[in-house]
Amino acid sequence: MNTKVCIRFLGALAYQVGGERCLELEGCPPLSALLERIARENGAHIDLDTVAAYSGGRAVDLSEPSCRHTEYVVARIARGG
Amino acid sequence: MSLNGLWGKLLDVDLSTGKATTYNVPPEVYRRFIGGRGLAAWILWRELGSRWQEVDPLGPDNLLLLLTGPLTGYYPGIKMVVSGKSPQSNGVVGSTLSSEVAVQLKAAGYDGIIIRGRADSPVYLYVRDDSVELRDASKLWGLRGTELLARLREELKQDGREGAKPSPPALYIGPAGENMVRTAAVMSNYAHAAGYGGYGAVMGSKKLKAVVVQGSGPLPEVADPEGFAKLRRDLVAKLSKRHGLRYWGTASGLYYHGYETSSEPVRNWQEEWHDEKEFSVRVLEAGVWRKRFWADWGCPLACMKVSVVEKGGRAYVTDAPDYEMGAYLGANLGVFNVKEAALLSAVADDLGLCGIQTGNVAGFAVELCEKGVLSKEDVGYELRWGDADAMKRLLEDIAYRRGIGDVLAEGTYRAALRIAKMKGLEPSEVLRYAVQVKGIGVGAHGIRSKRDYPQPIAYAASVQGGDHTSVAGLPADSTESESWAALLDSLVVCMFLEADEDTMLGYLNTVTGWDVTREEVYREVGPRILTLQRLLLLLGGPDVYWDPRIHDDNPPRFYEPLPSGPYRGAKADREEVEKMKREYYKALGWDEHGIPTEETLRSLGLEDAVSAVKAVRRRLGLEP
Repeated sequence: MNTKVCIRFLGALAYQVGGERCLELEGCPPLSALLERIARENGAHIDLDTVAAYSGGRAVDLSEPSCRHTEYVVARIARGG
Repeated sequence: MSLNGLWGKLLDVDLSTGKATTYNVPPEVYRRFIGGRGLAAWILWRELGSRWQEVDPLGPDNLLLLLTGPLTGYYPGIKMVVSGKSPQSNGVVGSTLSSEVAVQLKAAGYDGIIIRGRADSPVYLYVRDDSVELRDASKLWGLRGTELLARLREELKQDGREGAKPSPPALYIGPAGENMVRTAAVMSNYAHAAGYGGYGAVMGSKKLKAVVVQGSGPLPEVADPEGFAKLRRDLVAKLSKRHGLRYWGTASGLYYHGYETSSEPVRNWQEEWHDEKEFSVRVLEAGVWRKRFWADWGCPLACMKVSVVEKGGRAYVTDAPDYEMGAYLGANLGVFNVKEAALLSAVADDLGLCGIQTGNVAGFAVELCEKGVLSKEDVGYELRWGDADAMKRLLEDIAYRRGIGDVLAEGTYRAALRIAKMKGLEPSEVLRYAVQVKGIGVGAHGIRSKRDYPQPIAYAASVQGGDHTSVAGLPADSTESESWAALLDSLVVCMFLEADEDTMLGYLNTVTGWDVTREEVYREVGPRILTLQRLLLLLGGPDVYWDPRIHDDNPPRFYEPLPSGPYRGAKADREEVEKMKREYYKALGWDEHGIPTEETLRSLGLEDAVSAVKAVRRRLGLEP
């Protein structure tokens, strides 16, 4: 069964990949794989070491199966340099 | 209310009288302001708020604050906050640097040090647990960083107190700080700098060459040892996997930000793109790195790299250089040889200059020469893009306030005003080349391409001006907002070791026993710190005052289209900036000009600031 997952990107990530992206999932890949796919499709670069994902106001590990929740918020952390 | 993770007291040293006392901080103040930057805002408001506009940042009335936070010694890595009334913005900057002094201070039984007054002659402060001494530093005055650390090591060794470590746990200034250069940093361990804010100049104004701290006691107890141990174990494992930062440090941004994201300052931000393939971390790795992993106390990342650059028979030591130093003392000056950029970084470190602020004003000066505003006669020699020898000379002229260096030592904003006067020009004719916000040069992350992390209001609406480590952004109730940066600087933790909100707050609560929620961070703690910083920034003075209607803006350069690269033509959109600012200010409870409202002050427990806001509004002609 397909699952619809929506990811809202915050801040500069929103400029790069769009504010919100909704995907119909076949299977249940890790959230990290979804983020990589979205970045690739938009010609953007997301460093998975320096983003944090949340669902329902709680942090979610990027290795978690993405179909566990239907809505995510993703923001950059460790910004600067 | 009891305290965990904190001592509740600071060492209070008056250099004018030579007396040291204890400054107690009530537990409820920590709960409201956390520590570090938040505590700095509270102390400065309490001690200087009623006469803020009259306090000369480089006069004896200013305070120099050296502060830790509740997570110092517990969270991986080690950072501390340097603050005071900033000689750059005339507001408050929470300027951070890595230094072992932070954990030594806590082990000595203090959460920080307040430095008041001004010594009659150069001194350094030596703290060893309960013992506090002001020692003669006449023979150390004038020394550069490397020489100073060697001499301090010898002096302490002869004392039988220290010597085993290659670098004593010290904060110090170089010649730039002694000469009250507004771009001077407070330094530690050769290459660590608290650069934003110009606190090296404040330290110099107090004739304080160094602060050496050694503590032998335990750290304060944590509230939940078991929860803390688990969080720490999980976090260290997670942070150790940040391979990009771990292997390459921030220097990996050098080619990346120039070529990929078009957000690196190139020739005073005339461009933000380059395709200089040799200006990369790989060349640094092969050419100058001597030690790949250099970490401060407890840091699992070790993103710093020790570099050695040889020039003129002398070996210069610096870190990588990191991205900011490499960008500002490299690409921004048209120097695309990374070894030359590393050399300039090492020279800046040794002189005690902030590489960002000094690279900013140096690039400004070169462009003024290019545009014919400054002449060879004004400078004394040719200043051309890419001439690393001339740049090295310029850095020294700034640090020693020689010739044009004396003007540039005032920082980009004040230098622009002075040069306009010298040349009989309108200030705007020179300020158009000044890439700064409220006296603070913008960090090396541009906004025009929208491919880097700062948003269009990142600097314009920040309470720390151009500081790239404390940017404003939307949504205001997320890690994109400056509230989050204020929290990190109050905890006090390194931004490269930042984790998600749950982990950070979990850490805070297990150490302190508090129950701080994310809602509290974005509705109370963050806005409280930012509101106090904002108020002091708007009070300003005595030499410079800000009008938010004019100065809450990007540098003019950011409204010019990018001339090159894949984002050619991109520029800041004034309408978008204004719209975002309004939304951001509203979310913080500030009015349309970004002035905190009376209602907001009361809701944040800052009732005693109501009259100061009225004073700001009167100065701006917004009320009679």
